[in-house]
Order: sequence, then C-alpha cells, then structure tokens
Amino acid sequence: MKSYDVIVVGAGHAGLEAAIAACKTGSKTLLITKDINDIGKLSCNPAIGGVGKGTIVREVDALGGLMAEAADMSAIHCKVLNQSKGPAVHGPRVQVDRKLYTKAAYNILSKYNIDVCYDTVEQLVIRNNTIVGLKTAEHSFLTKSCVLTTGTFLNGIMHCGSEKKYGGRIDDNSRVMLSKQFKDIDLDFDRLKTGTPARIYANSINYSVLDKQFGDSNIQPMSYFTDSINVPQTTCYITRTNSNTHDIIKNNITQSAIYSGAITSKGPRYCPSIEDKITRFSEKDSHQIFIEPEGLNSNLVYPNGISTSLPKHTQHDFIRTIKGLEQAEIETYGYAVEYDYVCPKQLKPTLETKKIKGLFLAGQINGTTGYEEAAGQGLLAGINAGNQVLGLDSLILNRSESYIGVMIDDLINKGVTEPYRMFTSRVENRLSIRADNAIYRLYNIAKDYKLINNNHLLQINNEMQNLDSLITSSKKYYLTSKELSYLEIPSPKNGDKINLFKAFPQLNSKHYHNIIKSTLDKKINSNVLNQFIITTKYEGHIQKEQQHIDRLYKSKNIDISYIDNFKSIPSLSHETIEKLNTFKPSTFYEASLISGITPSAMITILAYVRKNQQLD
Amino acid sequence: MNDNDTIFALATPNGKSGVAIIRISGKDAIASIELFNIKVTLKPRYAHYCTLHNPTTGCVADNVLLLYFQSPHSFTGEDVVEIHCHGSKAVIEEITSILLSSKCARYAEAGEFTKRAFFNNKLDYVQVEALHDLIESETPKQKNLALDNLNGKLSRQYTALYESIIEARAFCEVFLDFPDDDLPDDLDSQINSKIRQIQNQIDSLLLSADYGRQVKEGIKVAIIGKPNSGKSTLLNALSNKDAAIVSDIEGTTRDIIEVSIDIKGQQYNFYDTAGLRDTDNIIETIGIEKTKKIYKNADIVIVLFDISINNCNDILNCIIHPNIIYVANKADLVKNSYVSRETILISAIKGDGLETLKQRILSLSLSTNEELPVITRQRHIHHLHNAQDHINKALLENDLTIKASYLIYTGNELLSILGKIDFEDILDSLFSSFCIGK
Repeated sequence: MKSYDVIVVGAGHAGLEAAIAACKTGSKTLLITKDINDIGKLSCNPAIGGVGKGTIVREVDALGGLMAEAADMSAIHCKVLNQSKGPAVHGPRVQVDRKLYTKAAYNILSKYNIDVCYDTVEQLVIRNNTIVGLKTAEHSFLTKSCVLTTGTFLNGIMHCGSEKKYGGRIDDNSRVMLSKQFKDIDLDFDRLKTGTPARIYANSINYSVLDKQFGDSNIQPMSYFTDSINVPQTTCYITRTNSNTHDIIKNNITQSAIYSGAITSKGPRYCPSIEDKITRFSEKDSHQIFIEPEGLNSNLVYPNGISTSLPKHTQHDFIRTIKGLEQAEIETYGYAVEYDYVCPKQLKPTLETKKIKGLFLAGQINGTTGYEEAAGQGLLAGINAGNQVLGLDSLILNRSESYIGVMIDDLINKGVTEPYRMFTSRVENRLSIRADNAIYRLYNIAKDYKLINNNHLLQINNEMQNLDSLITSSKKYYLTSKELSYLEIPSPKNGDKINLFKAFPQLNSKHYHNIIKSTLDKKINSNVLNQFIITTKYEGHIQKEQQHIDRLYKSKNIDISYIDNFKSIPSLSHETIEKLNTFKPSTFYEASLISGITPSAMITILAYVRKNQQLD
Repeated sequence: MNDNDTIFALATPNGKSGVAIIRISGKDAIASIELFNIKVTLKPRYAHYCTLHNPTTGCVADNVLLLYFQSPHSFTGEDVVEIHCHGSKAVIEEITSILLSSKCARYAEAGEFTKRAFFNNKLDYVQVEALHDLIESETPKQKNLALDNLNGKLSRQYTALYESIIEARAFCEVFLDFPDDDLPDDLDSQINSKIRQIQNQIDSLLLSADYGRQVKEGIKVAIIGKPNSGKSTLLNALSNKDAAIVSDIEGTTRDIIEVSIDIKGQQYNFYDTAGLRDTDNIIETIGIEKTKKIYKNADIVIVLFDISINNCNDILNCIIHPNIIYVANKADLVKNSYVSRETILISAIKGDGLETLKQRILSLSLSTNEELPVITRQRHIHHLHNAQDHINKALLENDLTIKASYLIYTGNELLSILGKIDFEDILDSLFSSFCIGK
C-alpha cells in the first residue's frame, strides 16, 4: 500500500493550493481528483479576483500560491474595481479564458513533485481520532494527514425547477459519500445553497445593441511575479432586465426550487438569484447583467447577475425578454446546488479539525464561497498539514496582517450562517492591509516558510529597503522655495518648512520621479513609488488604525488555554461555563467571540487570569 | 480572598440607630444564619420575625427580622440573607463576631457586593456607575438622575446611538464592497445625513453632560466684586451660616471660600472671591489671580457692587462671561437708588432682594428634556468627546474608506462606555474606584 505524508482530496482552487503548499514543505504529497479535466476548474463565473477577493489572490501570490499566476496566464479582460475609491478597497479582477486557466493550473501543478491519482474517495480511515489512510474506489493509501477540499460535492443536490440531480456540479454527477461517515465521527454539519446562471451561445446574442465594458488600458497583472499579460484582451457587455423579465419570473416564482420549498438551506444574501432580487427589491424595475465571455475561442458567455433555479422553459422565456438576448440560445440551464458543509467552529486556526488529528478542511466544505476564499484556505491547510507531519511550526495568519487571517479567524470563531464571502468591511485595519502591499506585508512569512524562491525574496526585500530609505530621507528633506514653486506648491504662510514626505500627496504625478531624483538622488521602480505614494497619503491614518486595533485587542492575546475547566472560575454562570468548556478558547479574544458570553463574564475571566498571574 | 466565599457587611451606617441591617451573601448565607439557632425555616421573599441565639452562651443575641433572597433573585445574584437587628453597637458586634468565629462567612471588601452583582450579570457597567451615583446623591435631582440610569435609561440611549453608527457605516460599506451593483445615486448624501444625525445625538448627549455635571457637582457660582462690596456678607446671607469671614478691612478674603447651597433641589457651589483691585500685597495678588480663574470656570458669575459708592466700575466692566448677574448691594444705605433693569438691588445684610436673586440664578441654570437621560460621569464625557471628534472628521472626509474608519472609531467609543471593550480599564476601575456602600 502506498504511503504519503499529505493526501489532498479534490483539485479545485483549495486543493491545488493545498497540494503545492504541502509539496513545498517537503512532504510526500498525493492529489486525488476524479478527472484530469477537473483540475482548477471554474464551476461558476470565469473570473478571478474582485473587491476583497482580489486582495486574497494577492496574498496567495505572496505566499507562493498559483492562483494569481494562472489567472495572468489566462486573463482576457483585466480591470481593477473601485479605482475611484481609496487604494484600501481597490479590487484587482480578471476575466479568464476557462480552458486557458485549467491548462495553466495543470502546467503549474506539473512542475511540482506531486503524485496525482484520478479516482473517487469513498472512505477516510481513522484510528484513535487520527487520520491514517483513505480508500478510493480502486485504491487504498496510508497517510499521515489529509486535506479535504470537496467543494459542493458533500451530499450535493442540484435543483432546476422541480428537477433534482445528485452531484456538486452540473457536468459531474459523482457523489462524495463522506458526509455519512462524518456523521459517524460526530462532526457537525449544516446545509448551504448556491446557484449559477444559464450559459448562452455567444453567436445568438445581438451585441450591437449592448453597452460595452472595456478592461483597463493600463493592465495590472494579478501576480507580483508576472511581467506582462500576453493573452489577447476582449470586451465584456452590459445589459439589463426589464419589466417583462420581472413579470415572467414573478408569474413562475412558485416553480423556482427556492420558492417551492424544495430548497430550505440558506444561500448568500449578497449573491442572490434573480428571483430573490425581484422578490426582495420589488421596487427596482431593472437589474444589471454583465455578459462575460467564457474564453477567447469559446462560443459561450456567462450572464453574470441572473443565477436561477427556475425551470428550464421559464429560464428560456425570461432570458429572451432581455435586450440583446432576444434570440438567445441556451447551452446549459442555470441551477441551484445544495450541499453539506462542516461547521467551521470545529476547526483550529491551522484548519485542522479539532476532533480528528491530521484531518484538515479547506474551501467550500468550510462554508465559504468563491475560488479565492478557497485558495487562501487551501494554501494554509497545505502548509500546516505538511509541517505537522514533518514536526515543523504551524502557520497561523493573524487577523491584523492578512485577509486570509481575517477569514479563518471569522470562520473558526464565529462560524457561518450563509456562504462566507470576503469583504473589505470584515477587515478592521483595511487601510493597512491592502491588495497592493500583500507581497511586502507577507514577506517574512514567505521567507520563513520558504514559500517563494530566493531570487524573488531578494527582489522584494530590495524594494522594501528602498521604500524604507525613501520614507526616511524624504522626511528629512525640506523643500527649498525654488523647489516648491517648481512643484506648484504654495509656500506655507507661517514660514514653516515643508518636507518632501508631507508635500508628496499634493504633487502632480508628472513630478514624482524627477523630484525624488533631484532632491534625494534616488532612482526607484514603479512598485516602490506606488507604495511610497500610498504611504504618504495614509500614514497618519494607518497609525491611528493601529492604535485602535491595539486598544481593541489589548487583552486579545491573553492566554487562557491552560484553563481546563472554567468551573474553576468563581461567579461564572452555569451556561457560560458550559459554553466555554465546549469551545475551549485558547485566548481571551477567542472567548469574547463566543456568542452569549457577556462583557461581565469576560471581565470575570480577565480578573481570574490577572489574579493567577499575581499569585505566580 | 476568594470570590466563592460567603461575605457579610453592615448595610446601614455605623453608630446607634433604631434598626441596623447586616447583609450576608454567598452559598453559605443560610448556613450562617442557622448558627444562631433560629427556630424557623426561611422562605424566600418572606419576612420572619425571630430570635437569634449566641451558640456559645445559649443566650439571646437579639430579636430580629430576617429576609431571605434566593439565588439568582437577589442583588448579588447569590443567596442573600438580611438581618434587621437593633441598631446597637453591642448587638452588631455580637452578631458579627459569631459570624466570623464560625468561619462560614468573612467581612466583605469595599464594593464587593456590587462587584458580585456585576459579575453575575445583575448590573451592567453603566448601571454600576449609576448605583454609585445614587448612593452618593444628596439632592433630589441627583437622586432622580442616578435612579434613571440605574434603571437602564442611559444604557438604552447609548445602544441606540451605537446602532445608528453601525447603520451609517453599513451605507459606506455597501458602496465600498459592491462596486458593480447599481446603487442609488444619492447614497453619498444619505451617508452624510446619517452622520449629521449621529453628530446631533452626540452633541445633545454632551449638552446633557454639562447639565449632569451641574446636577452632580453643583452649579458653580462665582461672586465677584471690588473689595468691601459685601461679597462675603452676601454669601453668608445666602447660606444662613457664617462661612466667610466678614470684616470691613479691604482684602479680608484672600483665599477662595466655597459654600454649597441647595436652591429648589439643585446644588449650587458659591465661590466667594478676593476683591478685584490693583494691589501690591503679594498674598492678595495671588488671591486675585485665583479669582480670575474661578470666574472663568464658573457657570454663573455674580458681579457685586456697592451702590452707596458712586464709582465707574472699571475692573468689573472687564468681566466677560455668558451668564452674568449684576447685583447692587447695600441698598439699605441709600434712598432712591436707580439701577438698570438687569441689575438686582439687594441688601445682603438685611436680606432684602435675596429671593429675586435666587430666581435669577435658577433661571440661568441649565434645564434638560425630561425624556433624555443625563450623563454625569467623566468617563462617559471623555469617550463622547472622542466620539464627537471622530464623527466631525467623518463628515468632512471625502475618502470613503477613511470616512468608514472614523465611523468605526466613533462606534468603539460607545462600546467603551458600555464596557464592551477595554476590559482592562474596566477591571482597573472596578477594583480601585468603586467602594460602594457594602
């Protein structure tokens, strides 16, 4: 029987990152997926990134993941969202060619020494609450750890009107039977729902009547390591629903799987089906639809904004009321999918299950939605699975240093009630942790965990040093009156001198390079300049943000893991003791996140901890 | 000290009285009372008249009334027994020494009953403060405010304000996190109008804080005038006691004398100041400097002059303050005196015109909307000032990400007041500053 250090189940966006990260730790790694065509498959819309999500992609990139690189190798329409707003909420996003993306993912995967097995997992072998192996339809493997990334395939049921099909994706009827086994090992489950729209033949669309949406002319790659994007760029289109569309949907709403009662589980509020939008926002007479090409040579488009579980004939009818889609021919109908997820409060910050040693979970199985969220978890789970087997330090990402850290912290402490999607608003210090500085803020982790190669580390480190020295010297350099007038900055009335750092936010961009060269005799690249511009703009706010974070979490890291039984703390209520003993929070902060733990209880715990410290 | 111990303390003041109350709280409260060989079984929320016996001598300790509050339906949330005994030093000493020698219970530390009430979720943090204020209250207004806050009026107001901050933030966040969605065009102005509402609420809370301070600490009234214009005499007349030294030597009052006077249920702190004049006397110069400081911090300034002396009030004309009352004293020394309509004519020595003066003082005191809670704590005022600062910046800020940050900071100040963050600070103040009557 073959034996591995880490086995990754599933080769979607979580699985791929997990396998590569585990391999990088030096662990002997096996990736199991049903079909070679499933590797890096984009089950829903053909796009990577967005607001919040784009930041995760940049973090995955900074930690040596493949998603950004694969996206750049297949990008056919690039746009940074939110460019009119501050850099903290810029959302790098690319439309990709589906086929090119999976090809890129496969090619990157092939560079690593990872065994791949095309098969279906049927059983996990667990001894003494430790994973020891697993059985597929045809093989058995021994393993020291396992990363499960089964997506929506755990007990997945697809709904299209009253039609029901088992499976996690429309072209794949395989069922993962693990849910039943999980119940035997006493893991808590719940059900979630998500959906996808119909796919339409591009040559049946009348593009001449639609508004065009162009990509950015100045393309920013997703990956720090990509020099340029070499794929031809295309255009997306925008159209809208109208009152006829809404009438058809309203008249058939009872046949939608969601409204007929066939689906009872919760879907994401922020990614609603078209029937949801029409019901919940009845005052709006029109909703936007983005027509996104599925690929350069693909004859299919993805109509972003009309995901649905209405019956096929209704989908056909309502789509044809939409401007430009009057003659639309549908290739695949939209559907909703219901699936099991493991309540993520049962996970450690490493994404290992608390109950089963060596069993790690990542991606939609943890109640998240989105390729990017999955990739971030996969990467972390892969590193931790590998390092655990090798007896190395585990990697826990901090809430105040990364979006991935915020996501995992939210998942394991607060759990989910709807599919979890990343938002910038979930991040307390989003002025400090941004898409543009992911590569720098995660540099030390990338270096310590050997996630990116030495040449790249050197390059990043150089830029960080250049930035530091630019900040220091620009704060010391006071502009002469001649320089001020050249820069078109009025001299301060009170005769105060103004330094270059302070003056920088007011400068016209055409002066940037010149003034740095002439005053400080420095030549800097565009990455460093960009970081410098943002630093000069945000510095005061970033400091303030940090103060507030410190204040908010002053007691956060107080260790309470040594408290075996919270009964030993006097005057806690019975209910509180029970909750604390169930969740076993390891820090004061974790305890504060448990629902129903009151501020008074928190103070009681703190008082107890302080008293113990005094006694020591 | 163990928080599991059963504790007891005298709930009434030390000294002789008709009745004294000894309160016992903790799991051994019942066991402690049974030491006294009582012949009844205590029933929760019933009053039992019975006899306590000294277990060592077998003699009667006292005839008492016993009240039993069963956990969690008590002030502390634990089992509580109250002994209503006779307020004699000997009785109290006998009972407490029996309790102590049994080792069932120990003396409570300062504030320990309240601390237990807090830890057992019987009171929230704002309510703990209100309880402290209630016990400290001296005037009816102070009492009413504290009682309102103990009943949660203030906590509710803060919670509502916090919710509107969250709502304003949600409007920002939807704009930041959903760039693709077609959102209403006027979202920007909607956000700002919400921020303005929050601004107004914080402003009115701070205004109530001014009022609250006046109620809690008393309204500061400075009496200012030239030497020998009768400032001290007026103060004595208002307070009916000889607080200030009165003499006819100019410059008698070199230190500032403070007297608290209750007018219609409101506490006023009157400050008798050194006479304002140019002087070479060093001690008096210091006094005059102090006077200037006092009147600048005062809520109301009484400018007093001697009507029997005809002078142009040069120094007095320099006083600038929003609430000035001009008072002409020594009306008894002149016939037919003419004063402007705003000036009140009195004779401090005879007590004439004092009622009119009191009325004017009352009319200048802040009043408040009865519906609104009133803030009295410096801690709240501190956080509200911070919140005000953040919300003002939020309104002016154009970068929506920074605007949202300011809203977060505003919200955090509210959470601090409610005791939901800054646990360490709360812990410190709970252990140090709340020595609430046991």
